[in-house]
Amino acid sequence: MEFGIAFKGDLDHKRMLAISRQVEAGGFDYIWFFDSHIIWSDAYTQIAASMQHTDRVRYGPLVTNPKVRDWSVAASIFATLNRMSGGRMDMAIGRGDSSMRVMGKKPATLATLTQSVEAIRTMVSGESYSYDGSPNPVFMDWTEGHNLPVWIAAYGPKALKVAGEIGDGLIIQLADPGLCQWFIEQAKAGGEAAGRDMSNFRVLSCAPVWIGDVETGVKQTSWFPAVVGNHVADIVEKYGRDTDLVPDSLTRFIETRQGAGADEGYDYRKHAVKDSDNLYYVNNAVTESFCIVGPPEVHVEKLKQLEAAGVTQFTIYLTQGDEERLVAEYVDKVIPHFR
Amino acid sequence: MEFAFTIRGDMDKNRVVAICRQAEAADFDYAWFFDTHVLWRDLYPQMAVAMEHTSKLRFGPCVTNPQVREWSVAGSLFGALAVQSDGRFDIGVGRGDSSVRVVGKRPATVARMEQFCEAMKGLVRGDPVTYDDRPEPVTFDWTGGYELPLWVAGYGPKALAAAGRQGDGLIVQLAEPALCQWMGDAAKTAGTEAGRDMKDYRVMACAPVWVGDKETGVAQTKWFPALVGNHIADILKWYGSDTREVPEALTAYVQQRKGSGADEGYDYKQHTQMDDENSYYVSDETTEAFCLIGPAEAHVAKLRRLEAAGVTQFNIYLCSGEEERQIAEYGEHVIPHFRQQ
Repeated sequence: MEFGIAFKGDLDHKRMLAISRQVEAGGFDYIWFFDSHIIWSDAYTQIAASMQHTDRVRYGPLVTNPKVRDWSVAASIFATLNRMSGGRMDMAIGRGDSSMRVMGKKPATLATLTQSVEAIRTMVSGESYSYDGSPNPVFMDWTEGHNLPVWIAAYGPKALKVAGEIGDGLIIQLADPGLCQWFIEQAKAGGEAAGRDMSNFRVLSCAPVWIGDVETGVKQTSWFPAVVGNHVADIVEKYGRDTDLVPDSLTRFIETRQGAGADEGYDYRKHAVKDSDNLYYVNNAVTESFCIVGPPEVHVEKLKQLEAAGVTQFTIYLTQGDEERLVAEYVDKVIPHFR
Repeated sequence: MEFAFTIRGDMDKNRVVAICRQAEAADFDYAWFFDTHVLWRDLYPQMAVAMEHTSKLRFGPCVTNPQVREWSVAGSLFGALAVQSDGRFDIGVGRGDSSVRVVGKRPATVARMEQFCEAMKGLVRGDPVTYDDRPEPVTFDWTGGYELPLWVAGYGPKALAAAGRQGDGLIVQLAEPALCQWMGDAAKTAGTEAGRDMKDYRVMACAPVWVGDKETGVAQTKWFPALVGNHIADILKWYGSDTREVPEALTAYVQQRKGSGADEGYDYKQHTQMDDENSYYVSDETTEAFCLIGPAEAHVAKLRRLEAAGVTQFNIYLCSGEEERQIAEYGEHVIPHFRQQ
């Protein structure tokens, strides 16, 4: 099992740098940054700064999307960061959630997502690529031929299939082992149907964590199911409540929540904010199942279950308070069980 | 007089960091970066890195443009770098040259460039900003209300007027004192007409330099007039070569150049390369007029003339070879003459 953290991008700059060093020294493998350039500050300049203080950990946005930057601009950023870090850059990409919706735009289609991955991969590899946004083919002769690892974020059946077809890995934005397994099987089936060897396919599960008592933990992390709920509600809406395309637990989650989804007034200005008004409809059982909350043994046990379900990397959304302590607890009491 | 240098994005990262440290120690004020993301690497991560290794030096793109990044994306980059550097961030803005031409797009109109300037200042300050077809205003609540110093690059009368209206400073991409005076005056006049107080208005002249013998210097820097020629030829095309709106020195320069301009086959893949095939049509006199070449005393003398012409910052385009030596020569033999007032 690999371990990662994800920064939201609103921590004090020097504190972010110190945590980057702490994370690398503690044996984590990845540092990700949320890519939502309006709500928080630009992810890529922070990645560049953090790289100056580490030698080993890998970096990437969690997640970017095909609509926010022209593809040549995006490819130039990824190739530049890769060169500067000695080859430590990945990309995780989804259809676009907060960074699009906060501007009143819609997420990209899966076809656009697929083409953007091809475009960015090709340009970063140093080959010429033509696309609608650029009258001339784009050719970056300075990328040193980097083979950019691409992770695809998905919840719904069609997006999961695409993740299996074109991704090096899948991003699952929750840490419930049963749901992870359901997502993973669909992605792998999609890849196999496309004739790919899926034995090295990677799966990242991400969620906030709290080491300590359950009651406090639920309070600190209940913003997260509210975030996830927007995605899940979209899927339940699209594929129906009574089909076998969507597992009962997802449907039940949507039924137990009350309040506004993405298209019904969810306030993206308070996206991923602890104590935000978006959370009132999340019940404690859902929070416990989507996050990891409790003493260290509970974390180890749940991570073993996630591993058995096919998860290869667990990434902590580091936005729930006590950030340095949580990293230290994972280093001392959790990660050693997986080495 | 402030001193600056501009990094082209194809330099090794560790060397960029070393040069920024060297320049800060040598009392330079600004490190600028060319913004041409296809030809060279993306500049903003490189700037973020250099900021980690300096404490006084200011940073900025020289120049960015309205065409290459969606405006909220551009504004977020600028806000992020202002926050990360503790307020050591400016921007230079132009209509878009190499970064848009290399992908087959056109530069922005002057009007659009002005809207971009207003939008960037507003976004980075934290104001709600509406632009283009955005259904909702964009607001950054994390920038700490930063007032973004903004410089505008221009050659032609319309762009110079826009620089006077929108900019805290003007970027003149050549180091010929009479032309700098003409351009600076044009910008200040427009600013005054728009009701601004232009007393603290800043004027930057940028050009490559060579401290050393003239012959080598001309060979090392003649790529620069070729590049400037594209802009000037555009202006003459718009305003005609015999109007009084454009000074004769510019007209004469374009008339004696031979070869292809931006729309006639100039190869942007060789943009700012020494020994590129775009430079064959530049005369030695033009190169000497636009750049700073010769022993250190010649640099000091020309910089005095630039200062008298209203230039407040001189910016070295650091891509003509022996970069560390040029910085060291300026630190030791040139900059001290402008610090003992």
